[in-house]
Amino acid sequence: MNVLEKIKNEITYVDGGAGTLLQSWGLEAGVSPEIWNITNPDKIQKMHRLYLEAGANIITACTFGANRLKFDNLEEIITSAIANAKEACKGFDAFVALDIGPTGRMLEPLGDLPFEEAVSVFAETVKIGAKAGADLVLIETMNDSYETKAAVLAAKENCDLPVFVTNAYSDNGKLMTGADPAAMVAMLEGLGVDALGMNCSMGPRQMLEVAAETAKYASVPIIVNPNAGLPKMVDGKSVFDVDAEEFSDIMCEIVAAGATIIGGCCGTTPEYIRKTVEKTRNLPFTLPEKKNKTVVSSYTHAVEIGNAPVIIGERINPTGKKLFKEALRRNDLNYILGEGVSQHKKGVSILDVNVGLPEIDEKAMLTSVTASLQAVSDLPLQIDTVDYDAMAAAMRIYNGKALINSVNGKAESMAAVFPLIKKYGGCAIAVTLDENGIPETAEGRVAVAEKIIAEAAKYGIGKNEIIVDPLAMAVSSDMNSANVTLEAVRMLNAKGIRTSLGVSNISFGLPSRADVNAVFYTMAMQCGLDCAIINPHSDEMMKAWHGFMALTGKDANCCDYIEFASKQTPAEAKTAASVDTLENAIVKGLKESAYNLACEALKTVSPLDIIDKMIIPALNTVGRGFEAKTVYLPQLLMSAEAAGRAFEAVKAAMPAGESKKGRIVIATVKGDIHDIGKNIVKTLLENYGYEVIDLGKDVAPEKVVEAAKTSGAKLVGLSALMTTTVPAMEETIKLLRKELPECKVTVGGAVMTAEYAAMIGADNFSPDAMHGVRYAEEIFN
Amino acid sequence: MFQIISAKPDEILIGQNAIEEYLGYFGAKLTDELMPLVEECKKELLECVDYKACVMQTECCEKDGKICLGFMQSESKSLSGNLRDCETVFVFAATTGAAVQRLIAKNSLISPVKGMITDSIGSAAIEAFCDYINRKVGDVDYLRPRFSPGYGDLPLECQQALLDFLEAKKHIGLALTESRMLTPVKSVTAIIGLSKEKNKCKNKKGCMVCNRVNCPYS
Repeated sequence: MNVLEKIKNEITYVDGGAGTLLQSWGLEAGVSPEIWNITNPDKIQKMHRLYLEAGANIITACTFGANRLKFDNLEEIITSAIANAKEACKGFDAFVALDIGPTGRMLEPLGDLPFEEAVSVFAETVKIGAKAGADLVLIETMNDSYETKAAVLAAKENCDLPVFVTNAYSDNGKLMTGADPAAMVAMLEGLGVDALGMNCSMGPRQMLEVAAETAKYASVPIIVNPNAGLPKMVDGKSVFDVDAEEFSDIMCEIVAAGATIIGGCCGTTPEYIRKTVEKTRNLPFTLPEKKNKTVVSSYTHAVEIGNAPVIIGERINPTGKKLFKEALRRNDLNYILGEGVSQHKKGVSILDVNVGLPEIDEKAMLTSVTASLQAVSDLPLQIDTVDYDAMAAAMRIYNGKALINSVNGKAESMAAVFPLIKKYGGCAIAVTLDENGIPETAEGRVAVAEKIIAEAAKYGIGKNEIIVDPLAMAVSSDMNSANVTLEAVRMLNAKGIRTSLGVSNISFGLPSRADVNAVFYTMAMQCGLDCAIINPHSDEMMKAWHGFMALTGKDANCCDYIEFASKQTPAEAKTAASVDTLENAIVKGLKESAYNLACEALKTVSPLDIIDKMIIPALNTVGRGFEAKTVYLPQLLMSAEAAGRAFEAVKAAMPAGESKKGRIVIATVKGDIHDIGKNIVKTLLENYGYEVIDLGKDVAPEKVVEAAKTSGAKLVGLSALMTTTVPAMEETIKLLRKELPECKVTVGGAVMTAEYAAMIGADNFSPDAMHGVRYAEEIFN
Repeated sequence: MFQIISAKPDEILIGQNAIEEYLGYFGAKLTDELMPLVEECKKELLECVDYKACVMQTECCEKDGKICLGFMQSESKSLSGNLRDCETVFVFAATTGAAVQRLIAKNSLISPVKGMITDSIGSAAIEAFCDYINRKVGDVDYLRPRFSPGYGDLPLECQQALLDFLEAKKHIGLALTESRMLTPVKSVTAIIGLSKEKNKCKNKKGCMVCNRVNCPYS
């Protein structure tokens, strides 16, 4: 019986925590146990044998920290570790797991380890372990979902062994980086792991809850390997507060809660495993049921489609949006991310991400937007593209289980999309069209849907992973189109097939489209529509959704509706009355008043005069106050943002071709992830009329030089917050001097001083943001 | 003795003064226009902050001109001064969690001023949590001011040894970048000496922000 057969037929036992035993045999704190595979193989084998004698069926080779970031002699360590475990297993019916723990580094965007580098670190360990003869891969103690995904991909791509995964949950029932069990189950089952669960960081009592929560969602066998209580150090030694008796008693409850692969982690000596085996051996063995839920996830939570109508925000899409297209061409990620964040605030559950424009590299842009959105929004994403390479790349780096938009009934589409879903996990929006076009009848569309579902099944993708979009077509060109679509939704719903619609197509060609859309949306929800791609900034649509939720009993006590309806006017409104001029609004930092007053002024004053005689003088007033230390930085910034809003109004009224004062490239240097200061400088510079090319944080010297070259910027601003990153700043300046000797460089940041700046060759040191503006004025005038 | 300390958001009082100081308002009052923004950002932070720390009590001694803490030795004169006559120290790593870092990034995107305010509240929050840790580990009257890598002549390089010693990545999800920054941001590592005599230092915020010339612990 191989390990996969075993876990499907009986309770399987994993060994306990090696550290405790090894330390009692002389392993000093701070010394890597992996080294003992080479220096003390007899003790490692003895440790394994004790667990085998206690009844363990799966032995974790001593490879937890074995990766190239920590060891130079990786091959020797892993090969001897697997050999030690196999030697110990002789005479036992047991399996050897290649044990993979975290890298010790934090992945981007929270840290600085790139995702693909993490995959490659794990891949090296997997290749050696598989070659050495491991029977399975156990990825464990992972407290970050993204690192977990990197490890699983590495395992899946580099061996054919079964893959088991256990995560380390904190006492709040979530991973350190935020994922709850539902999110982890969605992602890991999507990636095709063979068993999943939890280990370490808590004792069995606390883990019982997480195990029960996991059992609600999991369809694959559940692993639970708790610590022997909570770890405490007494006199330099690990001590745990749950003994073997109590541990094994609670393990019986854990089996009853749904776990079928059990063992221990820190502090669980062979005695713990022995007692656990004795007490649970004859308990009923029940595998998790197939849940067949339609679930997508982010790095914090899962969203189930099928209970109540789910809103997918449509705004990250260039179609028909001039500003968005410009942002894409300029590679202005902040604009795009802003669209994501503002939709999040409006209450959408999933963000659609479409960045397709003929003239841009969609694969690069889609991965970059996906990665960046993951730093600022915890909503699951819907990857929306017709470029399959871009789709694959975005799915790969997505931290969760994505919704994929879309597949259709054409053979080519299904052959491209389904293998990606099989590999990376995901739910697909299935559009009901095929080589014969879009069927005119509801029955025809349902037939295409069923064809797509049948084809997905050939890849092992369940019906629950397919969400059918029966297509809303313009009612203005076919008066029956809404009826057909609604009928299709009804029929699909009756067959237990999930549905989605891009609602707003229905009103194409009609006036007051939002009204028609909202009515159609309500009708579709009444027919059982599970999710819809809509514009959450449309009050009509949000009213329809909130109203529907309240009326159909999906909003307990109508709480959400009441909150939605009672949204207060912004706090700014109170003070707005006392502001009568644009200058005052800017000085006080009131954004909406500044915008409204600028619009008002435009009726009588020319756009350029508004800038020169109202906005700039107001900014100067605040700027002088700041320099005189009577105004503080947050006020300066509020004024800058208010001026920014006024600019928006003025810009819209300005004749095309009005040029900016000049271009400036700014960046936080390589290795530095702080960007608050840099963002402040950027805002102010923009307000003084400069075009700022913001390269973000952790920017390599080459990128700065390239941006300065391509944009022709005369000035580059660099920021560094830490002494450790000042060398990177110096390197950037050196490269700029070499490649662009004419270009001026100004530097700033918490650790900078005028002397320091001069030492590393900068032209200017800006102690604060206003100073940066003054320097720019000097350079460009 | 090793312990993991966590706290609920409402257990940690983030001082309004501390926030104002981080925003640059030393003694000055926030304007009426700023107040609602500060309140909004504070509310958002309190919804996602996840205070966690791991603390290890260890022995401390001076040998051959070096200060020895078991897991590390240092020639730092500043640390040596700070820990003079201490035989026991608490080494800790504390964080406000990954969600706070994400909130700061998100708010910076919405509006630089919101970003700045959230960043300042994050700083005030981790500072307040460190004070909470002080109270949890012992009698604050006998604790020396907190001392972190990077203060005085204690190099940032010892940060990794400290995190490894505490297994901070595993216990509280705290790691270092290659340029030795703590991730998530708004995290602190520090060493606190346990003194036999009552502490003579009145500066609760630690040595980093203190410019005292005749310090008894320098």
